[in-house]
Amino acid sequence: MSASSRPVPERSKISKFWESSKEEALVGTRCKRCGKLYCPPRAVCSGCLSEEVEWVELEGRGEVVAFTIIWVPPTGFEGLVPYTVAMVRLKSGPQLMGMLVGVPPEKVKVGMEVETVYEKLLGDGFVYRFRPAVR
Amino acid sequence: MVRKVRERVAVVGVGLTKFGRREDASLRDLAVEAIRAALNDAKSSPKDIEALIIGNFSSDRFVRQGHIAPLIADYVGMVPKTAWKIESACASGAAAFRAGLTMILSGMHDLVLVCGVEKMSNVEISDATDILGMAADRELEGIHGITFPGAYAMMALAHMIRFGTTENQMAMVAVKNHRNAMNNPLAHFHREVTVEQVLSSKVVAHPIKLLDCSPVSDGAAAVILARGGIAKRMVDTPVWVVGSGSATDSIALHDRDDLTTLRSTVIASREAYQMAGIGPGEIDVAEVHDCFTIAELMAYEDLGLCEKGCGGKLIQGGETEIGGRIPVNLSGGLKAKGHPVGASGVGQVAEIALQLRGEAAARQAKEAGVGLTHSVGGTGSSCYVHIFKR
Repeated sequence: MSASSRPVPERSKISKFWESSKEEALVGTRCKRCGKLYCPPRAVCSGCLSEEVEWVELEGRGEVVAFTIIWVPPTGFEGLVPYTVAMVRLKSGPQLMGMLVGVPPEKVKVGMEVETVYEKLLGDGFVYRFRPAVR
Repeated sequence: MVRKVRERVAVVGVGLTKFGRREDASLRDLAVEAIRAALNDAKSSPKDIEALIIGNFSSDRFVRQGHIAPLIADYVGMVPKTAWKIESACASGAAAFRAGLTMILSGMHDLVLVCGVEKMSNVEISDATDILGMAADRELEGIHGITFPGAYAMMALAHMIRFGTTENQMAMVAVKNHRNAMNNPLAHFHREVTVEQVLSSKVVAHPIKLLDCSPVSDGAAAVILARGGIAKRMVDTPVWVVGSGSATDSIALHDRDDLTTLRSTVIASREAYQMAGIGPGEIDVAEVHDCFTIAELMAYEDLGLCEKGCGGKLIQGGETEIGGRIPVNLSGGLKAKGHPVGASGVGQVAEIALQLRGEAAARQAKEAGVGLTHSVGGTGSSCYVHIFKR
């Protein structure tokens, strides 16, 4: 199976989350009523069910809190094996899952500082990845 | 809110198929096998049963058949009785059991048949992985190439870092459950494994290896639930359902503050203990959701069988072995009995009923008066806990 069978973002009320990757930006939503911050974004605040949410740009930096190295991949990811998927606690608060690139799997450590980079998918799609922080 | 169950409900019949790669049987064949066995066990007939609840995750993608509740009702001679399917990923069977229980507690029915079934081996393993992946957040997690074992691998790593849990201790879960399955003629595997074999098996998602994972299995399990007075008239050994708890958690892992615990297990078990009016110390035997070996260690902790962080020590001390303080997964668990996802939750209930009836033969726990079942959907996004008494 090729990369064409990987999941791609679907059209939804949070499409801007994926679209902003094209402009190399990480965005989330903040509830205007209760202030809760979501990244990945939610179109309606699950806390107070308000749909008055605003888009906010977040600093794409954080720390690895857990990770795994995938050796048996799902359909479409065969060509990338082995690859690292990390759970990252963003400096702005939310936790975000993403592929960790630019570092060999055996060098990945919990506590590692990472930042977002953006990668073009097949078609028009873009997706964020993490890489070790360079700044 | 937890209400005391005023009405008594009992399991009056259980039936299981052999779990494993069942090339001889289709989904409907498996369901019919389990239901016939349960009816036979309860000395009951389809005409006595008022409703059929099916637990199943994805017949639509595994065998391209939908609308399976009436299909199965048809093939066990239950038409025109009411029948429907319940889905809660890998906990579908346990969710169906809870639905059957609530149907009786509602006062609407007296005798309900619950059947969990999954036919998984018709598809390639990569497709099975993809189908099981539907239990997670496809849009926000699937896009990053995470897998089910991968999600549990992150939890395992977090647990290792926080509590010092070792890959060795995880391997011991596989060793114990494979050994238990040797005494279960219906188990998928009849093959013992060693810690060394587990540790040297192929890495699936670091730190989880192949022998840390439950298999892709075909199988079905059925139980018959009856209202108190009827149960006593039907059988000599009703197994009473004394506690039921259920909870949910975020669908995606990134929305969990603590990766070392399944909050849905903590909440569901607390609810079940409260309803039963007992504590975890009173459980004599348990069947827990060991889809991966780390999941069994986390279940020990989240169910209160030991302190948080001590799951590794509990297995290492032999306390969950047959003959230990609290034997866990004497059936072989999902790990070695097999994990036909829709059937697993009902299979656990059948095992506990046999244990409490004293009919578990070579794998019988000593003095088993109180039993617990624990079933998890996805990465803990749903959980069902039930407590039973003789």
